[in-house]
Amino acid sequence: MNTLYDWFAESAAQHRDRIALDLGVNRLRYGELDDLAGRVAAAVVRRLGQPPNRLGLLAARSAGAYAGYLAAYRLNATVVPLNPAYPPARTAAVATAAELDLVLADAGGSAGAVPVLPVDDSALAALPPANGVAAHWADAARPAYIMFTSGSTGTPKGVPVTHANVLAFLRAVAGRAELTSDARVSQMFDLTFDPSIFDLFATWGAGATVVVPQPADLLAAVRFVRQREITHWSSVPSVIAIARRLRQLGPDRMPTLRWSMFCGEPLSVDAAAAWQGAAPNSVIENMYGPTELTVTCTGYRLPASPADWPATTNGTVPIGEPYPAVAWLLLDEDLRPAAEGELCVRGPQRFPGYLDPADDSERFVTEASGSYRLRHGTPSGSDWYRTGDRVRHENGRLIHLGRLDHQVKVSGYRVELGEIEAVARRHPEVAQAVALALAVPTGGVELHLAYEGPVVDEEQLLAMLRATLAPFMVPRRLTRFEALPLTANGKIDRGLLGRVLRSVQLPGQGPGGASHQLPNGGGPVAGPDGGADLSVRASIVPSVGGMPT
Amino acid sequence: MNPEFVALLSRFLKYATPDQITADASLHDLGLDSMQSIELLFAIEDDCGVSLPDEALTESTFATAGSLWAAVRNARGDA
Repeated sequence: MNTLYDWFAESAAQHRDRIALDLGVNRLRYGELDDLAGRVAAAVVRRLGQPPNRLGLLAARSAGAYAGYLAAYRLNATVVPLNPAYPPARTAAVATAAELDLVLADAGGSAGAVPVLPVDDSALAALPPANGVAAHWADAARPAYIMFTSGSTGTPKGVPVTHANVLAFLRAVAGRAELTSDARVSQMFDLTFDPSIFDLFATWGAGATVVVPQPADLLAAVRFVRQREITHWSSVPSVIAIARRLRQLGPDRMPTLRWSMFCGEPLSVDAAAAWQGAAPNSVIENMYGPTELTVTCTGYRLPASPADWPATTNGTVPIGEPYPAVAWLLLDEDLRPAAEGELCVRGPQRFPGYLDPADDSERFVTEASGSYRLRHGTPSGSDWYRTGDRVRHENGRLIHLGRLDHQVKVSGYRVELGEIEAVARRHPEVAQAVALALAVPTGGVELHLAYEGPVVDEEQLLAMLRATLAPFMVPRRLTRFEALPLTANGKIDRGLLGRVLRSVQLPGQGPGGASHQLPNGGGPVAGPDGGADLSVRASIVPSVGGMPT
Repeated sequence: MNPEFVALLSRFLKYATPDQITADASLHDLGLDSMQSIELLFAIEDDCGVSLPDEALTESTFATAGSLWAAVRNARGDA
């Protein structure tokens, strides 16, 4: 078995009459989904005159989205998921950077100059049979997908992940998830967020059913589990916070659940306990991994009884132990092995390097005769990938402590604050910009942008941010400063800025029109000039870890 | 719909002026997506003092300003 298409096809041959995909409105058996994928693959070849190298997928939660994924693999093309909820300019930028040959779209949409092939339900219904489209070649070293994540320089960063990487991941988690052919697995994650790979391919490898939520199910995850008889759940932990807030997590509300996996952001012990109460028959697994290490590379299974759950120093569930084939080490800031430090990983799940080789610089560490140094050029296969995550090894388990840089998680989505800042600085009147993720009382964080410059039309600045950034990256509030506060050595004082913004923008209180003195006595009202409360006026709500939009 | 409810809605409808928020107005057309629906639900809890029951959390409840208002009144027991 070399590729994800083999992974699917072997299972499809064995389970032709079982349901592969439950879309609510209709259901597709393995045989039907395989046939549909073949038809889409044939249509792609007809359109291009040859198999594509890279295929964009501007589709979500439709038959065309899933058949399109498989069609690409049938042709051994690389999939580049695109999000219909993102601004067209971002989609076009990704389509260009990824050098796509064609985009499959299930609801219109465009991708810059790249041609589009519709795969909405009526287009699919009109497709003729495939007549034996075969893979043009099968190569495990070829990227299965390229996911684009937030890039600190202001441009999305492409992460290619090979078939060999994904198969290593699937082999590590398939048994762990105890997936059997009667399993019904939730598909909450957006296809642009790599845990969706688990939802689709771990499920299909077991002959089980991928169960796709409708948009309103987002508001009622517990009802979705009950009505659709979900046995295996995977999502970001933010979903628990929403369900709790809406008082949906009553005792034993989800009796069908056997296995629940959370990843994408820290899982608090408190949230895990709330989920366990509503799903008493479910195992709970906390998993961790950046896109560069293929979905997840460590996991911790909570003991059946909450009384046996470990106490950790920061109230989060451990990220556990790396999967057996994953090699890891912790390095301190001088690149010496330590019990607490940056988690560095190599092994079969490590990606080969970024799409743009310039992004590789200093992200890898080379090991030579027992010492470690930063790799400046292209990484070799044995180099360690630096995750940027600060981790402690505690009682045989890894505990996630935070980030070493300015990357934050907004409802599970990875955001480089530098990307927001770089885009804001493109506005002609914005001299300096700092993005901050401030904690909110209900849990999670909210993005704020503090900028320096003359009074600008904030609607216009916001429109510019919204036209470029993914929705979850758009700041909820903008605050103008005459001058941003500086530290003694002349850098922007992010800590002080955070405290100032928190003090004037408590939720429900608005930013306040009063002038604000910086607490360091640093001269006259450098503070926020009572900018508009955009959380009200513009109502930008971050989307939740790949929930339906 | 009472004026407080219209004011609450207008905070979430980025493309709407208050006079466009009529009972028949499509919330989707006025700019509400399902992510904002979550925040709107939280606001309904805080400002109107009711939580909508699970069975009310459907596409049809969120179809128009009037259908959402009806669900709020139902939940309050004054429909």
